[in-house]
Amino acid sequence: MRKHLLTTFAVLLMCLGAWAQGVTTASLSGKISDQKGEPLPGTNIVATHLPSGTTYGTTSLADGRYFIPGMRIGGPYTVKVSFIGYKEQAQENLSLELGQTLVLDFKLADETTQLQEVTVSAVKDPILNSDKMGASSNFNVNQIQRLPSIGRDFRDFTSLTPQAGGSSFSFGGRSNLYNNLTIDGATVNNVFGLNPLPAGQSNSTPFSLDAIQEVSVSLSPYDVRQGNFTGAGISAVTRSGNNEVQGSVYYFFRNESMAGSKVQGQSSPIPSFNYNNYGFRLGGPIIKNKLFFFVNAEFEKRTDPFYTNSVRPSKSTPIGSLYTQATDDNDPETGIAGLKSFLLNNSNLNYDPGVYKNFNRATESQRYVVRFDYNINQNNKLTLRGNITNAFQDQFPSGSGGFVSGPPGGRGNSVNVLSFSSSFYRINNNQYSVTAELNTTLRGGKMSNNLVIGYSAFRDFRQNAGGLAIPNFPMVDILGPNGQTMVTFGPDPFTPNNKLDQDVTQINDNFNIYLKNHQVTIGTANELYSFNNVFTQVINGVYRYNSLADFYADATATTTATARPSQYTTQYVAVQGGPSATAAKWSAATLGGFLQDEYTGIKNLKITGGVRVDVPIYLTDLPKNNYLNAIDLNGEKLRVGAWPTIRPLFSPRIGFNWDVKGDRSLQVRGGTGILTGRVPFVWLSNAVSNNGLFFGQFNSTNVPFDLTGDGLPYNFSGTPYALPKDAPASAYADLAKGMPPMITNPLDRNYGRPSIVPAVNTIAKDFKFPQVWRSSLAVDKQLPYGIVGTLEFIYTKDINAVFLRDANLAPATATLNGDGRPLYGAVPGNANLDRAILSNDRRINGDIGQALVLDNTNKGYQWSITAQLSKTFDKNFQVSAAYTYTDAREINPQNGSTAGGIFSSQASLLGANNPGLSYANTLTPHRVIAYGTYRKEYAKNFASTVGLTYEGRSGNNFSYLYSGDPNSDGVSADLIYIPRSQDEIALTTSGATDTRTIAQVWQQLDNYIKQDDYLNSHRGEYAKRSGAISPWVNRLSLSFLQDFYVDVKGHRNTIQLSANLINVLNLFDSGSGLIQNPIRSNLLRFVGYEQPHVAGVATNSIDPSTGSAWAPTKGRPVYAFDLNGSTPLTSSFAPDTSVNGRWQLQLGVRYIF
Amino acid sequence: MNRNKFIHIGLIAVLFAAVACEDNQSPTPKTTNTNPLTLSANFLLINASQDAPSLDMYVDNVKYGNSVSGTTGQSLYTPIPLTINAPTINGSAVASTNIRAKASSGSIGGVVGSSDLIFRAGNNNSNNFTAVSGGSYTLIVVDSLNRPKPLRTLNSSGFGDVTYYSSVSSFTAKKISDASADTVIQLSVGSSNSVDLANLLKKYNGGNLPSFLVPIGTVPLGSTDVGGVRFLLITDELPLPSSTRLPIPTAGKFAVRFVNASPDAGTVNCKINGVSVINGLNYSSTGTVGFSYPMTQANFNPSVGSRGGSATSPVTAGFKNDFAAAGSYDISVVAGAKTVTSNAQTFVSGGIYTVVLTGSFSKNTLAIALVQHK
Repeated sequence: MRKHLLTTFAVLLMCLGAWAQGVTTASLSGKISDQKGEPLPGTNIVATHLPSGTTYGTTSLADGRYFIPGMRIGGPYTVKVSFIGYKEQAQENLSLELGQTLVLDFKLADETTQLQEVTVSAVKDPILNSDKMGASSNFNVNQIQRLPSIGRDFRDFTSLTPQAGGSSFSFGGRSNLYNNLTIDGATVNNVFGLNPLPAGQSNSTPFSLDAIQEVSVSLSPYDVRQGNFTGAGISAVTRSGNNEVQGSVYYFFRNESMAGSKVQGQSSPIPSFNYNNYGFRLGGPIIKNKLFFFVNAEFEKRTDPFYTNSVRPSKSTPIGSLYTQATDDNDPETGIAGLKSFLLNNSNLNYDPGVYKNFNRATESQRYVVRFDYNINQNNKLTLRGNITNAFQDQFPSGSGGFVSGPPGGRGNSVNVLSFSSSFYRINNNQYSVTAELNTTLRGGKMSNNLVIGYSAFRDFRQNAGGLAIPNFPMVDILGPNGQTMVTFGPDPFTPNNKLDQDVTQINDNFNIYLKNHQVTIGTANELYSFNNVFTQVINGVYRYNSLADFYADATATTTATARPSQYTTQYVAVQGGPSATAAKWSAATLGGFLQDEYTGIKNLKITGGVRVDVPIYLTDLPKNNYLNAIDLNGEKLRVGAWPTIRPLFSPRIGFNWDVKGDRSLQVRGGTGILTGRVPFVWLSNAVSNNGLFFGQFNSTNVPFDLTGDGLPYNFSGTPYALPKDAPASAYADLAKGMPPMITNPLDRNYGRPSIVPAVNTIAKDFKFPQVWRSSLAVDKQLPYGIVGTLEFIYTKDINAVFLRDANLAPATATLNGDGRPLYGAVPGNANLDRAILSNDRRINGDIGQALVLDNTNKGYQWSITAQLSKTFDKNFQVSAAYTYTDAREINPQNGSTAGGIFSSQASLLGANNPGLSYANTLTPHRVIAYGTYRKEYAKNFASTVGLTYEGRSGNNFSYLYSGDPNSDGVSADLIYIPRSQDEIALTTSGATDTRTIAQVWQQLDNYIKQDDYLNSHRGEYAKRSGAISPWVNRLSLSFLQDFYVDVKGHRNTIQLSANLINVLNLFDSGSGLIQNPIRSNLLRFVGYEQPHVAGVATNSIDPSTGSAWAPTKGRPVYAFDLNGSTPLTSSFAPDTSVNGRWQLQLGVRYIF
Repeated sequence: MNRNKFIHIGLIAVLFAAVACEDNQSPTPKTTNTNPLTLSANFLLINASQDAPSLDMYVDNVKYGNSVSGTTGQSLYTPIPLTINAPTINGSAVASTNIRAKASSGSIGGVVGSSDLIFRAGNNNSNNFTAVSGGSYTLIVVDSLNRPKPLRTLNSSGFGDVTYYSSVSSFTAKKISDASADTVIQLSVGSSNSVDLANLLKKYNGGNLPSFLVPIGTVPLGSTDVGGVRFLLITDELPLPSSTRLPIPTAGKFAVRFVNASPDAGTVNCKINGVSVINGLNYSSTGTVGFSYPMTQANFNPSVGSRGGSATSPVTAGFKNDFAAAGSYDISVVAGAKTVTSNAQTFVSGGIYTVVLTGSFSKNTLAIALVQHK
């Protein structure tokens, strides 16, 4: 009976989660007393981890309490308590969960006492016995094996956390860049933040599921040892070897035939692909009971076709979905083949652009983990772990133009566009991490120490697709007869030199002293970061030609200046030393210390109080830009090249766990405190590299640049343009003096004054790392039928959220007529070419385009309330279900791969510098999560396991925006006003081919608004940022494992066949289980400003009040409500037709021994 | 005591949450319609094509005015309400008024087929027209139903653009293979393979292009010219005085503008009561207004493949602002050997008129349309 209860107890805790205290181990604590309840000091407590024979020992303190930290997670454990004159007691079959402090009290009986049963208090209170204070979720090895997962991605399990967001690895409505990921206590987070996870850019995962013992998600830790996140702390712990040699070999696969081929009943086949994942794990003893090893290697390969539109081979082939440029008379294959032949055979070029068909996209990962666990002695346990992940994925060429607009039609693959394979690139994400952890018990358990040293290196770099070298050649976009990109060749403009090295070194130590009613922890947590980021966009130049003939003429006619590209863009290195001299090479560190007391002097109550201090410091001096720093921007001076002031960030926290009735049937827990996290370092790094010193930009559209200063025509050149060899020294930046390059136009050799800087990034003097004040309150209660219920409320207030502003954006000058929002000034002509500041200019200074300042705001909050029910029938049958309501608000989105990217995409009403508080873009208001596993062994050699997960959630939120920039703030992300009637909006037809009357356009818009719940209920208001929500998402997934096993000498050998079926509902009905996305969130297209009607004055060319043509006007904004193809837009959402929206099956086979 | 303490903590947390949950900030919308909804502009349609059917004028897809059969026009402007006035963005006018002509019954036919004739603001876009409230505009439908669609395509060597060559209805050439026989052949130019035809002719002409085939420029990238009839849109008048496109009559007289909208009539002479309207491209009625109104290809819509605005342009315009006092006069237009007349037309004192030569010389459909602007 006791054993059964204990098993139940242990398993239940897995579902409930625990107070994540350490992040690599678990702890045991409790109180030893005699039958009268008097404390028994000096009692020996020995816990033995049976699989490895690892023992942990301590003695109880003066108040009878004992504490064993740093214990291996998992089990089973046996705990023995002995004291002279008392009967020895043992607790068997205990299992410890990651971060858990299991409370195990003993009442020892006098040897002379004759009791019918020896009772252990822990057995009586199996349900709620835990030290948990804040919110957290744990997923152990059993759940990882049994619940459905198709990508073998740990995020499939962390997303079962009730407070997780819909799809983006965010928790509690916070940005996914504010999480911290550790493996075995070592930071492996992608701290630079181009992606929330290492290897994320190559669509890989940082570690194999087979290497993982347990994953925990900690949301509101009141333990000051935890830091470096304001979202969630995700800790993964690798498996350890035991005394028995155990291992597994496995293989998983899927392809296009194992996914839905219909969407809503319509045939829509998935392009052929192939996914394979195979590997092995092995663990065992090197020295029995003493030294253990574990190794895992896994290989993942996926192949997809790059081209879904093949080239139309000849004129006689029907056009269909094949690549062709619009006219019927084209013969693209001939033209494209002719281009390749020209490039290969032209003696000046001799360039091989690669292939243009039958070209596959490779996605591959290799993951290795090695771990050693060394029980030096009962008081010292050492763990060493190393892991390597090498991942890459081939990518389509970017459609972006860098600091100018990209080519019309992009560079992807469509019926219009064909890119040669030399334009595709490969992104490589390699990660190397080692960590050592030493847990020491001192002075017979009165003190303990935990030391973690970790080092992680991330090496991200690019190649051409297929792993080829990047040719030193410009990119060329050639437009076809229809004005869209017809063909592209030459390397992707963002690929040459692009690399990111990150090195994170970490030293953490904490020292615990166990006193009467107190456990005092003092410690330090330090991380050193080094970055070397090279990003030389458009360094090889991008040419755009209006036709193949123009290109041929420019490439062959070396003496005529008539043939030229319609656009030529290049960025040139303006410092001596070439591209590597432009690296953002810098180091920073956060030094942290903490002090905490855990007080247990009040009956049934545990309180922790502590304070942590983190000091971010910057270790690299940056070159200043004295030219820009001298500029006065309405009283503000830029700080190009300056770090923020160093100041300590304090995180006081207090937490409690109250066993209300003293019998662990009702538990109230919670706390409040400040969490300090990292800023994604790329936002800081932007200020290191975008300083107006390293690069100069040149862009020319149809203006004569055929003559350089030396009188020679400038023709297409296969060798990328750089500053001329004879450029004066002043054409280069003088980093020591902080002088930018004195060059306005390199092609015309126009020296003497720095060219306009399109964008400069700076950091505010008092910028602080993100901090939040998080509070939570939860009640856990044992309910009838063995169900455990939890109600948890979490509230987070931003103290320092990141806020981006453009210091060169002048305040609004007017109010948008017929709308009411502020109206900003305009920019005459090309902001990057024209320095002169005219009246009503939105720039303050013409030497800079955008001057972004990374600053803070204290606005923003998140709160959530979760109700969760769990029941464990036995160790093979568990179910859990939870509902969470979340609200989250922010000033600007806290995710984006660059500061400039965040700024230029944030939706606003009042202007880009005043985005205002609105819903967080990672908010998922309603979410239901349910999961369960059931395993049955039968007929001696068989076992079947079923795992089910259900996720029901609000769809992703989005903003209804205008396409275009009616408020003229330079950011085309303006929230719409939702009209009540036609006289509230000035509408026009979409263009000459539009056959609708204005009344019909309004009628269609009105009908659209009527059918859209969000818009219809907010008529007469401005749409709110991220205020509209896509339809509810239902996801039911199933895993089935069939085991055939034979026990040989007590060692089980199993063959396991597995099937993971994702999105079961979609299998039975191709209209179910779909993810619905907005068809057009940029609902209305801004056409222009109406001119105020003045009798007798022509107002379509100049504003009579200023005499200037370019000024924004006082008139109403005019909008078009475009058709959706050839029919009116009548519904808000359409299903995601990609494979992610459909059912998918993955089959696997595994041998376990 | 403990219980109370922690209930307090809980209450404080909840209270804090409630207080701090400020709502999103937003100004009050001000959607008052500040522009009077009495905006209007004047439009007038002339159907100058020799082969187009009867056409109706549509502005913003609403029909206005009477139907006009081939070679005739509406005689007066129709005031048409505009929903918005002359939008601009960063100083450039943006299009907001949709203009088209539809067949009064059936379809227009020819290259346009069952589609409408639509105004496009540029050669490679399908933008609308920018109408200014208070402005006046004359829409002239010109050219033949069978004007071919200009093609921008890859040439026979597999790459590059070809030039579109202007069409004439037909031409004759001698069969070079048997010069002595001098057999006359007739070829039709203007089909979509006119490039091939031009190349063929070059081949048999010593590698030279025959003089009657004139290259008129490269078809613009993304050309939206669909061929067939097209609009010639003349901005007659804007409210701003300096933008006047019409001759201002001297006191007690009337003024006439002449537009030659026939594609093949050549240089013509228009007379009112025997007095010539001055031919010319840069006629200034007052000498102070730098008025220029060339009938160049830029005024065609779209312009691709149109005739150039040289002195020999078949489309010319002229003005005269000091015709005799009001009365009934005959109008005549002399085009080479042919003369078309429109007799006993009434002209009022202070009136402004446009005489449009419509139809085709070669098809013998030349006609005169008279429009009164004022």
